[in-house]
Amino acid sequence: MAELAGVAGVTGVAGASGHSAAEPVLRLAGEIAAQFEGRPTTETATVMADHIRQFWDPRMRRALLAAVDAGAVRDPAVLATAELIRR
Amino acid sequence: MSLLKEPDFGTPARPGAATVELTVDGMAVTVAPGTSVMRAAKHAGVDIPKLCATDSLEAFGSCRLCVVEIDGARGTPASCTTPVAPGMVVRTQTEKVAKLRRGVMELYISDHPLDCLTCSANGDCELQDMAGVTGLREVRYGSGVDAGANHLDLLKDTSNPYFDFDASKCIVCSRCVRACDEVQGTLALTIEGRGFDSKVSAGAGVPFMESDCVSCGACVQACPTATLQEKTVVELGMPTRSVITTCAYCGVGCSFKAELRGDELVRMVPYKDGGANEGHSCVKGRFAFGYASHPDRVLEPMVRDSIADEWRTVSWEEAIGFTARRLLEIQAEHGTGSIGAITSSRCTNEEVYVVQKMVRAAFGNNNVDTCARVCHSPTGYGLKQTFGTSAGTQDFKSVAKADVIMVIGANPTDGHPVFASRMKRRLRQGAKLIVVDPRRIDLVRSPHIEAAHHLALAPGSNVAMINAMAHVVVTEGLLDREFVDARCEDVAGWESFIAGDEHSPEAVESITGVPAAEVRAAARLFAEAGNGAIYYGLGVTEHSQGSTMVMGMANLAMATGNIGRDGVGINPLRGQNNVQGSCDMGSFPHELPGYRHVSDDAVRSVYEELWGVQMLDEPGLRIPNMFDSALDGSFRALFVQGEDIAQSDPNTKHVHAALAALDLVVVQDLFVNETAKFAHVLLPGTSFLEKDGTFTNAERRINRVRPVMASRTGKQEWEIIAEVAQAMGYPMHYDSSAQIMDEIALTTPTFAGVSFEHLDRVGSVQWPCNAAAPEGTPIMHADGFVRGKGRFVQTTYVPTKERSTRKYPLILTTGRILSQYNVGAQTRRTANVAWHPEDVLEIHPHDAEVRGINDGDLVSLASRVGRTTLRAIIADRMPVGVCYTTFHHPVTGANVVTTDQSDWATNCPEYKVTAVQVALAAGPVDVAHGETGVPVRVAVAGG
Repeated sequence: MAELAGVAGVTGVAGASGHSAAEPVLRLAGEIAAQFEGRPTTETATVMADHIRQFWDPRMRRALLAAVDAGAVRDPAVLATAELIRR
Repeated sequence: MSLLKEPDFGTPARPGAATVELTVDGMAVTVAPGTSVMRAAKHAGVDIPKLCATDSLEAFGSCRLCVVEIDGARGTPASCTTPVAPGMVVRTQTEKVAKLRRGVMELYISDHPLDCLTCSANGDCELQDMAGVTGLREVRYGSGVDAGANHLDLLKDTSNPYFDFDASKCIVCSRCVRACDEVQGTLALTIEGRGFDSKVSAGAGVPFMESDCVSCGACVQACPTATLQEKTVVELGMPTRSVITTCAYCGVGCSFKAELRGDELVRMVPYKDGGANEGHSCVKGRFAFGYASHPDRVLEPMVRDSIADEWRTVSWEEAIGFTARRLLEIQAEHGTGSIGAITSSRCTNEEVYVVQKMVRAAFGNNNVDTCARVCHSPTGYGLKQTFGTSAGTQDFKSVAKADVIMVIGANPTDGHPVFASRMKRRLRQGAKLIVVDPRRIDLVRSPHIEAAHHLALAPGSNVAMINAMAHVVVTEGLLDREFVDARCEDVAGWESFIAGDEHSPEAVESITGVPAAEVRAAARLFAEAGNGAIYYGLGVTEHSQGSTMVMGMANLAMATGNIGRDGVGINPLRGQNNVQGSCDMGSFPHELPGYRHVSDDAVRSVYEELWGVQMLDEPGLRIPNMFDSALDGSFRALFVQGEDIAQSDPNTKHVHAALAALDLVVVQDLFVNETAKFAHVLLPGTSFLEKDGTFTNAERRINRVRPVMASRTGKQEWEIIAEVAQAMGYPMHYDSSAQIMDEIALTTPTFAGVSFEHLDRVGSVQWPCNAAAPEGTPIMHADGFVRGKGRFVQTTYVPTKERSTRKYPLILTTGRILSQYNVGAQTRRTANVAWHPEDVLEIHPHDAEVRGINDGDLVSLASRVGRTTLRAIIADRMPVGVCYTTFHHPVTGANVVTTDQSDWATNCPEYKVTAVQVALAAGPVDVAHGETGVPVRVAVAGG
């Protein structure tokens, strides 16, 4: 899996169609996390999870969680966010 | 409605209570101090003859027709320039003034062609009227060609596509010159020569089209004769009836009188009582309405099974049946969430409301988004987070009370020209101006206006800039402590954050490119303004940190106490006529009408009960998510209302691929636009002249859009939507658009007091309009923020991922120009193409020189995602390293080069920052066919 350009700690997951459902979602998650860089991971994850619940279609959330399950995410804030969303 | 002639009081109203009593021809009248005798007389029911006076302009006192006698005063003063005084006794009809007036008229007529019967202004000429009013019966000096030296053989200037200038009919009253100065603020016209040689001139004696004239029409409107006359009036004759309606171009939302002969629209005249424009207009609203009758209009529905097929013209019944059947089939095969819709900011509130209702009630999902996604969605997000509601805080009039105006990422003289005229009027009165923009926009230096500070920041560094200004406010003791302590929350944390050295102007100088001292001076000026107002545009929102920047501006406004009264505020200048309204109407996938989240059980139950359906409590797909989901196969059908996403949305290749991947695309539009090339159904739409509904402008003003003529398609757009929903099995029916507004008012607290009847009675209202504010709310957050306390948000600057490199060393930023509008679907089908026949690339002389590019050369513009070819214009208003173009012409396809980068919170595309390379094109552009079979614009060759 190739690491997504410019989004630290996030790698892409190509779907069966050839277009990666996870790629735009992971990029966006990385960009949201970047807004809160330097803050405690738990704080960032709480804000991110709330944001994602408010603004993301469920299939985008599922794509994020699938990418996490597939080991495509390394950013601690995104991982912590995923855990909050999963609850 | 018969032709509406608005009363002309001769001179402008003066503020203040009516405290000055006087009598005019024996009638008592009380007016505000400073009012002219002429205006007071009109209030008393007395019309004083006049030619050089009109109430949109300050008194001039040149025609001497309005002379009166005042007891105790010497001579016969001009009533237009004489202010009232307590106890004044005015006589407007005496033998003495009558003789003087006749003498004046005699002189005017002696140098005027006596062709009244064949003149285009016959019946609408103040000179003709005054000849009658003054009782002129003979001209002792001869008249017309029998007179002595005269101006009757002066040539007519027909260079402007919309109006003629016939100097032979000019009485040199200077109303046109003053309108250009005072109303429009362009100062393009002047009186050339002295005495008998005096004549109106556009600039240095050049034709109007070669002058600085911006064709706003203010001079034409001010002209009391046929000297400046609309070509349509010359060709068609005087209109006979008027319908008051609202312009369908930018977010200023000007009110107009559509003036017709029978069912033929002759001209659009700005309406003096229009709250947004107060009688002013721009070249688009005033003149560019011809697209509505353009032969390209699609008037009958069309369908096709595949985008490779030819269109088949079908009945409405078949088109609606086909649409509903395919939508249901796709849902049956791919799931409820596989279809969705995009609403249009060019459509009425009522049309938008029924589309989102169709999605939520008939589609059974929340996959509805609006074209505001790609322009002002960060405004919605940022202002809701900080203030509690997704809207600007002021009315347009508020700018007249501003002491310092900060314009950020907006170019009002091109994008919002009628508001720009208001702003320029205030600036000429002495308000200070700060412009934050990479380009030296016209506002930076124009007649009698010069920005105190032009912060020409690097594209993408907005947040660093606004943080630096806030840093100065906090660290230099300029914070409005009383305001923030009383009205805001999260203050201490924000103060600590923003006071950090990393936010100082010195620390961010290398990011913004603006000298720290300049930033400090600008911040001090704004903080100490008294009334500081921020106006902004897409140069704020269309960035990867668009939402952060909106919150940063809100922070600055709160920190300086510039919220909640006249002359201050945060003011988004909305791009399209109904951006505000389309957002208000629940077009976002996470919000129901009135910006209430879909997860709110209480709100959802209101609609569930009324609509008789269970609704989803989860947000749906946003436009970019729809494209991505189309490519991964989970999203299969899209209904597009009045938006040309194939041209307007970024990364054309990606958008085209997504559209081509869909099983069904339904387009509701006036024309076969670029998106329609991917469509299976084309449902013809109605122009604003045919619509019946409301638009909501950038100041939250809800204005009526009245049908000027019958729908050319036989249907209103909301009827079509309701019929599609019906055909899908969901009962939706309205008898009228007024009934739709009644439903909006019933279910949306901020619209609770709105109805067509109320709007027809009061003209317009600004929401919230409800029991607490039946006449609307011009200024928000006056006594407290909508969310309770204003919230400070820590706005970390995060650079965009879009960076210039050796391969792509320049940054491209995009925007619009005065004469064209958005994707140009409307304006390209008018004579406005005379000003802007093609999109061009503005590039700094240095960047051009090192590439061997000369003015007018065809150049290749390439980014990481695409390439196009267009003509270069060398412009020193561009900073080195930055180039600029517009996206008005599909043939250029500027969005071929813009990327997928978007705002982190809203997915609003980052149109304003694209790393590009520019090189001389080796050949002309060509149209090639991509994999989809759809024409794609590419350059055949070039660097």
